Amino acid sequence: MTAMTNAATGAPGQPAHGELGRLHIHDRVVEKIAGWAAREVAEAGSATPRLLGRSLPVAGRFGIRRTDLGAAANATAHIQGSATRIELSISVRWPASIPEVTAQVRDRVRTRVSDLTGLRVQEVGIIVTDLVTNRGSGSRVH
Amino acid sequence: MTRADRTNRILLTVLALVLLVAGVAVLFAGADVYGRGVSRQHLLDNSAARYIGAHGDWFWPLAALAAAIVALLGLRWLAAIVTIEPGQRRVNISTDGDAGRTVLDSGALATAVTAEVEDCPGVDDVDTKVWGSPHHPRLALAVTADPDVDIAALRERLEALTLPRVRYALGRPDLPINLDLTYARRHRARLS
Repeated sequence: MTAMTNAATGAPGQPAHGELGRLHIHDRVVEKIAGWAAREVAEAGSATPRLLGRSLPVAGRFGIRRTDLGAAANATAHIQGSATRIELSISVRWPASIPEVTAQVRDRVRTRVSDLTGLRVQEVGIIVTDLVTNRGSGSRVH
Repeated sequence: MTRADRTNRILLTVLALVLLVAGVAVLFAGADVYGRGVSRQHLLDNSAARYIGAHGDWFWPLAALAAAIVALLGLRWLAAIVTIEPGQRRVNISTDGDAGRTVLDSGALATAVTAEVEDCPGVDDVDTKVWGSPHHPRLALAVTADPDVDIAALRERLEALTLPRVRYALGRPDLPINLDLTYARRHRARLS
């Protein structure tokens, strides 16, 4: 689904194109922005997807994401009108406070997405699918 | 290792032995170990089968009752196993209304806690289980210590350093954690 934000009647922060036409923002754009915004929080990053509670062993190959605090997280966005809902699946450094880190991620994603696209972020659901321990699968050493 | 685990293991071992003995006995019968001609006998041509044939009016209802009891016991066992085993898949971190929910995969939590505890000196093996409900998760830690370790000191260290880190990371200072400390092979002590 794509968003149709009419520039003439758009919310503040939207690119003003006057009567030139309509601006369509694809879900994928929001997903990318959200994924990179999550990475900007130092203690959060991408996570290996899990199947039935176990990390996929083929992570890092076949285009499957690896747990990496320095990589963009996986996001799914649903745009409806001028609002969007985002689902993020991230990893968090252990033993950072997960409530604090996820609150930071949520804030950052909200700010980035609404600044860059002008969409109203309704909801940011976060699933922490991996925790990065010092000797764990993460690539960053603290 | 809990008491239920041990009972299950003993019962399954006994059942396996019974089935193994029966299977070997049948193989021997096929190889004529019990005398010549046993392998060529008809399956139902023996005294037990003839007795059942003659008294079928009460034997089969009784057999059905016994089978039903075994089936019910089996179902109960299955229910007990199923409720213990899969544990909890998700742990709720926060539910601040409309902002969106935050959940943690309990497999990730178990892996991180296991790594954390295994890094303690003197710890040989750890088994971490997450159970309870997503809103009220509980943690069960089964720690196997090296045989020459002071278990009281290890317990103190886990309770003073490791468990607070787990509670801090989850943002739940009151998270119930069950700690089961065991020596590798030799004597065992239970603390919770």
